[in-house]
Amino acid sequence: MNRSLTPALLLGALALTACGATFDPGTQVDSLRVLAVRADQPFAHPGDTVHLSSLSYDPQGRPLEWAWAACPSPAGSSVEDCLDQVRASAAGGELPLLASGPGVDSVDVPVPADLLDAIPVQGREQALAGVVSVACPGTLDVLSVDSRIPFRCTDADGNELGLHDMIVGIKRLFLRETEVNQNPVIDNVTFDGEVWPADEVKEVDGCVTDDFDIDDCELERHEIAAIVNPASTESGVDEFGRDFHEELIVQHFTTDGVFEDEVRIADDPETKWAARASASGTTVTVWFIVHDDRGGVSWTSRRAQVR
Amino acid sequence: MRHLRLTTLACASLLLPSSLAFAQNAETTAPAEPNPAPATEPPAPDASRPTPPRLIESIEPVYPESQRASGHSARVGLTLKLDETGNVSDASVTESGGPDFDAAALEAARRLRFEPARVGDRAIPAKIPFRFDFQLAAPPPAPVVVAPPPPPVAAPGSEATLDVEVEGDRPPREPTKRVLSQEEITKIPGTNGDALKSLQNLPGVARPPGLDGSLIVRGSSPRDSDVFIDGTEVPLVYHFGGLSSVVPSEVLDRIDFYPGNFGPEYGRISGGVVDVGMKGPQKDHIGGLLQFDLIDGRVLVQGPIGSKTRFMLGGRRSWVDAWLGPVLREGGVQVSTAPVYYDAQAMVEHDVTKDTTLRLFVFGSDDKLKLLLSSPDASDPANGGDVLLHTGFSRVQLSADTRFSPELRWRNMVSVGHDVEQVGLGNLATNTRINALNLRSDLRAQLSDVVALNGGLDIQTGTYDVAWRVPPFDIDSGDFGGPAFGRPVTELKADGTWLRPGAYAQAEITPLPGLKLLPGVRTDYVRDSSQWTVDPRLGLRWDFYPSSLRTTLKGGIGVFHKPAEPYETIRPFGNPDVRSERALHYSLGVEQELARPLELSIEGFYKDLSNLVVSTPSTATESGVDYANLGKGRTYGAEFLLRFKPEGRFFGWVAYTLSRSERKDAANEAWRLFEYDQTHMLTALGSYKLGRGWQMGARFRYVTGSPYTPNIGGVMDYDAGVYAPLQQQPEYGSRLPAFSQLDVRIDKTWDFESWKLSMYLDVQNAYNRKNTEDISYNYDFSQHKQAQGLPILPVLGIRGEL
Repeated sequence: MNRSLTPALLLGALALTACGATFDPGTQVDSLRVLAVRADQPFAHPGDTVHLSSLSYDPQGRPLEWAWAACPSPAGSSVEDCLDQVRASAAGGELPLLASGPGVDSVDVPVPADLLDAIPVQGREQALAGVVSVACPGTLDVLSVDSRIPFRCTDADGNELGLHDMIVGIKRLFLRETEVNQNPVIDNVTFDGEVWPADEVKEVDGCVTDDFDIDDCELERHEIAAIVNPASTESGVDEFGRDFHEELIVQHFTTDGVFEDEVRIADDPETKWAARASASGTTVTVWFIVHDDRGGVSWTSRRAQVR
Repeated sequence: MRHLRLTTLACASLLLPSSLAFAQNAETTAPAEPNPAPATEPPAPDASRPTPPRLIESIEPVYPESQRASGHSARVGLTLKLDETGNVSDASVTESGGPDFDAAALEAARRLRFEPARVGDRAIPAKIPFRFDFQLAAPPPAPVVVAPPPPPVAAPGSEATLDVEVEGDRPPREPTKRVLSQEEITKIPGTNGDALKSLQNLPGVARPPGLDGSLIVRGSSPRDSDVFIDGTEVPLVYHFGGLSSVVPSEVLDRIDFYPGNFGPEYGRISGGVVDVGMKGPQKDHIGGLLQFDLIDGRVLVQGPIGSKTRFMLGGRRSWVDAWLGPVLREGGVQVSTAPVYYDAQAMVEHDVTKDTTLRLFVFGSDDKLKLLLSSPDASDPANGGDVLLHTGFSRVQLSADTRFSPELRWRNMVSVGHDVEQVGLGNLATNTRINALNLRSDLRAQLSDVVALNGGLDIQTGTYDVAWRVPPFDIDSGDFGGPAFGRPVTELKADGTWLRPGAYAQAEITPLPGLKLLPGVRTDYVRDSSQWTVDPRLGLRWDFYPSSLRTTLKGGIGVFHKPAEPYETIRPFGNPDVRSERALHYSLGVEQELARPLELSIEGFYKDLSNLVVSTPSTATESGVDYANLGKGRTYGAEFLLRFKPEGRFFGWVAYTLSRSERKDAANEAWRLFEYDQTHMLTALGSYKLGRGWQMGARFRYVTGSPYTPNIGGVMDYDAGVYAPLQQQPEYGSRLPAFSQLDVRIDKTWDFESWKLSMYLDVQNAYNRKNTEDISYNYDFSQHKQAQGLPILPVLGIRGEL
C-alpha cells in the first residue's frame, strides 16, 4: 500500500493559513464583483423551476449586461467540469442560454423532469446541474467558439475586456428526488456586542493602514458578527441514507476596510473590523455572506459613515 | 545481506585474546624481523572447511605528524575485506583511535597483502578483523610485525575455533546499485544527517518540492518507487510528508539504492527501489547515544545479553510542537495537539546455532496534530473547523538466516503490522486502517563456480478498512479542481482483504572471470484485478582490469509491472477492470576506477511506460471518478557520477543527471512534460576530516525548475464564495525558475575514554538564495507572485555516544 500525499498537502494548507496573505485581501471590494448567487432551492427536484438571484457591486456604478447558461450534466463538480461542457456546447453552436441582457441579474432555471434519469444510481449522490453567469460592465456577446468562456465583453469604446474585468461564475444546483435544503437565515448583525439594525448607519473612525493589518487599528476597530439562526445548521439523514451535519461559514466584504478574519465559522462568528482612513467622509458598506456546505447561501449588509 | 558465512562471529579481535588478533604495533623497539615465518606450516587445506587468509606482506602505518607533539597512543580496529587474490578491497574502522590515526591505519591497511582464504582449492573472498596499535616514544618507532598465527589444528573430538568470517563476495544482482556508507549518510551537509534525504544527492534522484519528501527516481512518480526496511515495504517514509525519515540514521547499516533494472526479488514497482538495511546490535559492550537538535531528540541503547543474544532499543520525539504550537496560536488557531511525531525501534538478535541467527525487529512511527480553525482559509473555507491529521504504522518482523553450507543459504522473513491514516478537515474526512502481513523466503545456492541460483516467494496480504467523505478529487495530486467547500461529497466505505503473492528466480552466470549475466523472472498475482503478470529481466556486469584499475560495463533490460493503487481498483472507490501499469527499462553504462578511491560512472537509461492509470470525472461511479489504463509515458537521460569514496579523510562526489520525462493521457494526445520532470540535476558535495575531531563539508545543488500549470484567471465558485482557478491548457506548460543552494556543515567530536561528544552546525541555504517553490495568486488569480522557499536555516545538534 502506498504512501499518501495528503499529509504534506494538509501541512501546506495549514502553512498558508498560519502565514497570512501577501496580496490585498479579497474582502476589499474596489472593483466589479459578484459576491454571491443564491438559489431559492439549493436542492433542485426534476421538474422544478429554481430562481437564482445575485449580489453584485460595481464601484464605478456601470450598468451590467448579463448572460446565464446551463451545463446540465457536467462530468464532475468542479468549475472546470462545467466549463468543459459549456465549451463543447458552444463549439457546436448550441450553448444552452437561459437568459441574457442588460440588468438581467436573476434568472429562472427550469430543471428538466428527466434530468436524473440519465444519471446512474451509483452516481446520484453527486448529481448536479450547473449554471454559468457572466456579468459584463459593457456589451456582452455570446460566441459559438471552441472556448471554455465563449463570451466577449466590450466596453463603451468597443475595447474587449479580459477575464479579470468581467465576472464569470458557476452556481451548482444539487439534484435530488425529494430532499430539501434551506438557505441559512441571518437573525441579526452585532456591532460591539449590540444589535446593529439594517437601517442604522454607524459613525466610525478611519484607520491608517496600508497593509490591511488590523493590528494597526487598535483604536478604530470594532467587534462585528453575523448571528446565524441555529436552526440553519441542518443535520440528519439525507435521501441516500447518509448522516450529515452542515458546516456554516460567514464571509466578510467591505468597500474599504480591514477585517481580522476574512472568514469565520458560524458557530464562532465574531471578528474585528475597521474602516480605513482612505474612506474618510464617505459611507462604506460591509457585507456578511453566509454559506452552508450544501449550496445554501444568504447575505446581509450594513453601512457605516467614516468620520 | 546475502553472504556466504562459514562462522557466525564477527569482530573477533575484540573478544579473543590479543595474541590471536591480527595486530601491528609501532613501538619503540629495535627493528624486528618483518614477517617472521610461522612456527608451523598451515595444515593442508581441507576441502570441506575454510582456510583463513594469511598475511604475506605487511605495511608499516605512518604515525600521524599531527599527533607527534601529543605523544598519544592509539588503537585502531579495522575490518578488512579481501578479494580472491588476497588484496584488500575495502577497509573500514570498527574501533576508532581518532580521525588522524584512523586515516593512517586505513591508508596502510589497503597496501597489506594476504594469501587468500580458500575452500578446498578455490580462493574466495574473506572478511577479517585487523588492528593497528600506535605508540610513540623517543627514539622514533620501528614497526614490529606480528604475523597471524596458523589456524589451529582441530584436536580429535573438538570443534575448530578460529573465528573468521569468510564472506563470499556478494555478486551484484543489478547492473546499477548505489551504496551509501554510514559516514556519508550522517555527514552530508544540508540533510541534517537524515539517511533517506541523502539519496537526493545521487544521480537520477530529483529534488522534491519544498517540504515534500517524495522519492522521484528517473522521472517516475513517487508512487512508482518503494522503500524497504530489511525487506519489509514501508508505508510511510517521512514524518509529516517530509520533515525527517521514520527510521533514524543511527540504526541503519546501509542504504542500497536501485534507480532501475533491479532484480526480480523486488516486484510491484516500476520506478526505483531503496532497500535499507538495519544494523545488528553491537556485540561487545552496552552502548548508546543521546542526540538533540532543532527538530527532535533521539535516544538509543544497545548491547549484548550473554554471548549469543544482542538487543537494541531506540526512540525519537519531535519538539516542533514546542515552537510551532505558539506560532499557530498567535495566528488565531486553537491547538488541541500541536504537530508531534514519534518513532521507535526495538531489536533482539539471537544465534540459535552457529549457522542460524534469529532476529526480531519491531519498529513504528506516529504523526499527529489536531487543531480548531475558527477562521477557515479564505481561499477555501473547507480548510477550517476541526482539523485532524494522524498517520502511523508499526511492524513486527521476524527473520531467520540459515547457512546450510558455504553454497546454500536460506533466509526467511515474516512481518505483521498495522497502518493508520486519518485526515479530517471540517466535514471532510478520510480514514484508512490496514493490517498487513508480508512473507518472504529467499534461497540462494551456488551450484558451481559458474552458476548460482536465487529464488524465492514474496507474499503480501492483509485487511483494509477505508472510509472517506470528500468531494471527488485526484488522489495523486490532492487536487480538488478548485475549492472543496460547497461541493457534493461522496461517502464511501469498504473493507476486505487483499492478496498479492509473487515468486521469482534469478541465475547468476559467470562464464568468464568478472562477467556476470543475471537472467531472472518474476511473476505476480493481483487479486484486486484478478491479473497475473510476468516480468522477465536481464542484467549484465562485466568487471575487467585493463590496468590495475577496474573497468565495469553494465546494462540491463527488463519488464516491471506495478499494480494499480487499491483506490483505483477496489469498489466502490475504483474500477476492478483496471490492469497493472507496465514499464520497460533499458540501461547501459560504464564504471571506471580512475584511482584507488576515485570512480567515474556513466549510465544512459530509457523507460517506456504503458497502461498508465488515468482518472477522469464521472457521474457513472459512486466515487465520482473513473479509472482506465489509457496513459503512456517515457523517460530518458544520462547519469554521471564522479565519486571519491570515504576511505580516508575525504569523501565526496559530483553527480549530474540530464533527463526528460513525458506523459500523455491518451494515445492520440501530444506528449507533455510530466510534473516531476527536471532536466538538469547537479550536486557537488564533499566532506573533509580536518583532524582533532573537526570535520567540514559543503554541498552545492543546481536543479532545473519543476513544471507547473499557470492559472490564467479565476472563475467564481458561488457555492464556496471564492474564486476557482482557470488553468492554462495543456497542463505543465511552464517551469519554475531553477533552484540552487549551498549547504555547509561543520562537526566537532571530542573523544573521551568511554564516550564521545559530538556537535554539529548544519547551515542550509548558506547564501540565502530566494528559491521559488511555487506560484501564489491573489483572490481572483489576476495577480501572482513567486513563493519563496526556506531562507538560510542553521540547525545545531549535539550528541553523546557511549
